[in-house]
Amino acid sequence: MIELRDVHMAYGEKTVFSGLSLRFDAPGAYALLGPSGCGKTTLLRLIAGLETPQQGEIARPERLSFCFQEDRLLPWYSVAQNVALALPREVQRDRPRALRLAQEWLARVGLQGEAQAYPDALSGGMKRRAALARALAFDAPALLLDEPFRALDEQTHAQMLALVRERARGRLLLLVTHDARDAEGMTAVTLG
Amino acid sequence: MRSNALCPRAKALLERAGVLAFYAALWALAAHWVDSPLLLPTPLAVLRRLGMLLPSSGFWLTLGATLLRTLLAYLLGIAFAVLLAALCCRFRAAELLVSPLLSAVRATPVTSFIVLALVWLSSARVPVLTGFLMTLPVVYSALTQAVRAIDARLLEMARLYRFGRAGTLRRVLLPAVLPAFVESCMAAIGLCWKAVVAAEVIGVPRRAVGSRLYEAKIYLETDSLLAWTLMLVLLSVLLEALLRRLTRRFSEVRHD
Repeated sequence: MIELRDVHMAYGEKTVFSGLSLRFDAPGAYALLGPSGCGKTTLLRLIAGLETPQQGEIARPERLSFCFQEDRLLPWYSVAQNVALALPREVQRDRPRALRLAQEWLARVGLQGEAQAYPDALSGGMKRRAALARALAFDAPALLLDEPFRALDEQTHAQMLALVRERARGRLLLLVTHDARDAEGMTAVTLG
Repeated sequence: MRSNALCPRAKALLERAGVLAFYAALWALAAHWVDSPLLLPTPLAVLRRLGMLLPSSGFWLTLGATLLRTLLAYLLGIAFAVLLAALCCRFRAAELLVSPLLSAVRATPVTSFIVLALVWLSSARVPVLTGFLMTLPVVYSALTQAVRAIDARLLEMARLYRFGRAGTLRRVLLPAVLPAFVESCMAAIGLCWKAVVAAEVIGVPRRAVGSRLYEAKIYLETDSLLAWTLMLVLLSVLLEALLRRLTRRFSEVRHD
């Protein structure tokens, strides 16, 4: 469960949230909708603890999986290694097993052939899917996904959405999206 | 299909040999034109002198002593640069104190250090201090700049994916900093080498290549002077090649 109580957040003169109170129950799927600049990413960052509100309280689970708006893949590691880094520590200690699991996640996002490639060799859409695979591989009770389907074609978009829904089963999903179709079957939270 | 064309490595070697031959010929021509071994001996005379120097144990001991001073100065410079860069990136007060000092060291002519250090230290230690002072700021500024250039977004990612302190250091900070660090070390070895020899020429310690250069100048042994210089150049090139080979793995951004 995630709860925001009377949160106030501003960047300099620009107030993003004033007295915002929200509650996201787990398990559950929420689609965060709204125009650009309305504070969807800020909300996710506040929930993840990457931003500190000027006022208010935020209750969150200890572990959160986060798919950033940018890919944030480590350029010095292969795609498989990037995904493996999100796996539990005890799995990472067994390197062949970690890489095998990472490859399985990559296969799920359609990147089975790119496991050994480095991020700079991937297209924008491929990087997006690699970042999504890493987020999904990270075992956490809450999934915070910030526009994970950006730069994906219609078909891949649908496949990734199905994968996200499957992974989110029994977990809490917060999905930032501009596509209202992604919100089907989810609780829509419109900001701005 | 196999072709008779030379492999790229052999081609590059041939090209280098061609360039070397060109400059040796130019040197020989200039020596012939000057026609004074005192002003400019021929390449052959220099090689002959080198041939006379090579079998003597004193030659190798002298070369070894200069090499040892250079390596000592170089390693101390790198160690202090890493230590200071870590301190300065962590504590702003340390940076405020250290950065202007190192900028001053960089801007000061090397000869000023040598002359001043000769007042305080024995002539055998001055080259080490000089080499140290040449290495330190180069590696320090490369390190601090590389640390500041680290993408903060990657650090955020490391935090959320629970890399931990050691994991963030090993997986994000070190790979981001290593290429710049290695490059600065490569640049510093040449500087250090030259500074050590310059300090030896001025300080004239007992066993040193710089002292032999000074004596060659005093006794107008131009062929000796060029033979020692040739040896210094060769050793510098070898040292740089060795270092490049040793650090090749770290200078690449990718890690497997």
